[in-house]
Amino acid sequence: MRLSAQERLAYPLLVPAAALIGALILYPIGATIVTAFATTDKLGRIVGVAGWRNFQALAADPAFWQIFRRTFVWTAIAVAVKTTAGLAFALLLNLPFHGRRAVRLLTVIPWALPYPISAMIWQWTYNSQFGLLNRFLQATGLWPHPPAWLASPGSAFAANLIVDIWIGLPFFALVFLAGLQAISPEYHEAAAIDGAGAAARFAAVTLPFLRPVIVMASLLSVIWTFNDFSVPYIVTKGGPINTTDILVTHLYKTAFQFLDFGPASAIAIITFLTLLAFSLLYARLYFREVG
Amino acid sequence: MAHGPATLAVPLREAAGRRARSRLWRALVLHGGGWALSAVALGVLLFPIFVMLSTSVKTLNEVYQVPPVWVPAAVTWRNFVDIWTKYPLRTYMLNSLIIGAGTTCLNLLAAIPAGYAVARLRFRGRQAFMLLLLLIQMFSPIVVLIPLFKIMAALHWLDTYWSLIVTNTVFTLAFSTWMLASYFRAIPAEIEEAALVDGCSRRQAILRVAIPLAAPGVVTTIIYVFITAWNEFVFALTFISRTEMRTLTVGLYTFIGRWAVQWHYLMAAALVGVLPVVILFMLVERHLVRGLALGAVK
Amino acid sequence: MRRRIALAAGAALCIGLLAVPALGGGAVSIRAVWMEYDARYNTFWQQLKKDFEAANPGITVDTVIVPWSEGHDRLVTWIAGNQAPDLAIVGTRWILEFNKMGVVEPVDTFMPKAFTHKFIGPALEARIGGRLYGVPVALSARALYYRSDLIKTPPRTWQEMLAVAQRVAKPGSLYGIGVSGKKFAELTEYVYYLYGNGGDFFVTNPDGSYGRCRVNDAAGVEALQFMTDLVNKYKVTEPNVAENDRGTLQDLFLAGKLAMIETGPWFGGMIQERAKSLPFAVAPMPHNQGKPQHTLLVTDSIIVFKSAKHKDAVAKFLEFAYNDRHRLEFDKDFGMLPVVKTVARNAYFQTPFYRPFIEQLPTAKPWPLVAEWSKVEDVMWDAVTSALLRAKSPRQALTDACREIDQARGVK
Repeated sequence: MRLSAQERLAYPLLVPAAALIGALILYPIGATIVTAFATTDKLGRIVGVAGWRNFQALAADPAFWQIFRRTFVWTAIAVAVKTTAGLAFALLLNLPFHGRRAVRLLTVIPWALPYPISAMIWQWTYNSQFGLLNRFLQATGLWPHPPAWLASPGSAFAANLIVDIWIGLPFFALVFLAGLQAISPEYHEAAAIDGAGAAARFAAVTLPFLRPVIVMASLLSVIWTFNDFSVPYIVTKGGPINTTDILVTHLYKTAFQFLDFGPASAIAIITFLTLLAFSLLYARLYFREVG
Repeated sequence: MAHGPATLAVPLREAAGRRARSRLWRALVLHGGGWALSAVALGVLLFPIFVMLSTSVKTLNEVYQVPPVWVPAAVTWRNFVDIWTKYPLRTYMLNSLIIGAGTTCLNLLAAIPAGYAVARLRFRGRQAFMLLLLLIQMFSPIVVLIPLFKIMAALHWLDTYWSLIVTNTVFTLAFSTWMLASYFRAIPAEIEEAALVDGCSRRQAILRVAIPLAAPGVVTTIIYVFITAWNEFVFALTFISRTEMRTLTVGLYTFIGRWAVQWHYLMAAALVGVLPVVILFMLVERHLVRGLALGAVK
Repeated sequence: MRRRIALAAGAALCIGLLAVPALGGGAVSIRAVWMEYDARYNTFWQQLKKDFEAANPGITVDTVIVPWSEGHDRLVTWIAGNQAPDLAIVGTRWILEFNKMGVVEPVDTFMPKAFTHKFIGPALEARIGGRLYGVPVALSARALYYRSDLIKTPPRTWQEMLAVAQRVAKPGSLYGIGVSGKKFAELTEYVYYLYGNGGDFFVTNPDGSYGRCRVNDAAGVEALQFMTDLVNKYKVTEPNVAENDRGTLQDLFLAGKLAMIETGPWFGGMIQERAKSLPFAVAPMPHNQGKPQHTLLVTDSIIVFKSAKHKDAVAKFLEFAYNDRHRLEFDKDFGMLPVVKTVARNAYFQTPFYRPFIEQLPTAKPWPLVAEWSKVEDVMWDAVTSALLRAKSPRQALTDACREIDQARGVK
């Protein structure tokens, strides 16, 4: 193969990145794929060929499908709320009122905290006896009889969602804000001269300009939320009765608690393929958007 | 109008007064509304932070008071003294700092050339490489935890900074390469070409022209990578076993024991531990955010 | 120029990081993994290391301390990566799982007979098929803690306990008895009721091994039914049981919100530390009327890994660690019952506080030792919580659990 001048320059530049990725991502992925089709001992050493058995066992397990569906619901709700609330927040921060810089600075805090620490703080906040959240809801009369958040399946799932959204919201708000500020005021003025009201200007000017940012941020968020391990692992440990497990926590338990490395690798492959299929669809949209 | 007849002065002044009042009114609505909405939003967003602050200055007894108190009657600073003297919090923070800095270094060494190549050069496999980066972004670290652990064990890198530096680098590499590529792409090609015409080698053109012009992107990348490494949890939990090598996130996690959680210590330690990063974040927030948003658009 | 300096500084930093020296010296070194019993920053292990190294120059102990909640998963990861330590504390109930991996060296292959004779009978839980697979390090039995200002005579049976709970409970401010429904590192309350009702987890085969799961028999179902009734019918427990694990339940007792709680000897020290003025006493675990009294006995053991290079050094260390002074200190620090005969005679344990624990030991039952215990425990937790939350009837929950457990263990 003859290399062009540009290629002779490009390939050496790619060597460090490619070497790191090859050694620490592609090789482990390969190992995972092999393990998914193998039977292993309790140390994850391959002892035989399983063929599709690990996958068939998963397909036949209703608990797995439940977790699979739950992961979609989890991701869809979290990303939808983060996107809309983030946009609303960004519009607020874009208003030229005094002190908005201070507000923006404070908004950053949840983003800057490590996930596990946020999860631990929330776990404590949710405590129905010693926690301040229910105390606040009752004292202000906003919710006289709040649920014991982590004590029943529905409210525990909601509680985890709230934590995930809380962690992710600042990213959306601030990235959207930057997007809003990049829109030249002339477009709004032009639309205003044409007699467009605030809502019409939002639809005609703001949204189209923000679209690439929204697409990028929500794609990243889908990936991050789908793979969010710390929140369900720390806040509820997947409970009560596994009702807050999502695919990654289920995978972790299967591998490290039950030492079923073959099935765990199969879950890993399914998780990856699901995200891949989604992202390819999304990436098409993105490339069409950005050109 | 300013030169109008004197007889018009009075109504004009009244009109000006009305305009001023309406301006005042609009300002009130704007600022008041802005403040009110911000107060609600921040109240929601900062509630857990308040819980952290309040718990960190409670005594053990007040932590478990029912109903819980908002602010302890006697604020105690003892918890901060205790965690600073009894727990190796300084070591945890130093470890996280070294790992964060190391990751940032290694990441830039790999991402700048790769980002440049992707942005500027035509080569076979370019699309495939870009797609590969996107795929990596999708991989949950949990999925490859065991094979990675085995690699680290084989290299005798367990319990070293390197194990975390290289893994954190790899898992941030995709994002940083994409981001840097978008910055390089935004630099007009003519500037570099001019440098080449002036007798610079390609390498000099990259080092002296392209990288300095992409500096905002580099800074954004540094911040993103550093924060991600600083906050990383699962690898640090797996690759590090010795107490004196623990990172901040894992060190704080160990405040949860088999029998009890020392919530007042946990919150105090969390506060001390996250403060540097929160301040850093606030200092560079504007930059980071613009970088992220524009990186996506360019 | 500034940029070049920054670049140079960055490069220097990178090289500096590269040069971080590899750890580990030339002397004989043994690596020990200890588990953190509470969240206090304990000096016991560091002190033991120092004392041992002073007495044995030439051997160093590399001490790694892990929180219990992470302990199992960390050890598995290290073993899988061929990085097993030389010795580690484990829950004795995990030993079969590790043994199945073929990594545990029986202690009696390299320790003198006299050493294994140091221990009291109930502590030697890790004696399996005539071999001793672990040295007992921590022993506990579970008992009933109660508020002595509210309850004069402690209940001996479930029925008395229910009556006492109904008498003292004041809705909203004081709950009768604690029940936890949140998954925890061990199957906390159900096992007390199961053993206190003459039930068991598995059918014992003639050869002593464990056969089918039997928690769905009359004794097992009745035990769970009683717990469910405490929660949902009589409402004498704290509300929202699924929110609490053993830790937060203890917090409730310490906060003065619970009249009775079932837990281990360490809790006495926690009350001393956190709620000195709380009047409390300890009594044997209540049992179902007409059934024999059995409480749960739990041991943790130190196992030695086959891969340990310097077994002689490990043996020296174990001999050293099991001197009376350090053992007493351990038991005091972590609130455990003595495992060594000579320590058990110490005046420290001859108190009204320790008496109920020690008196229960002869009839106390340990966890069943099966290799699939982590899975069994997880399934059982889900069954108990589904019954407490009324997602399933106790019978249904336990029948489903047994099916899953037998399937996981490959027992027909």
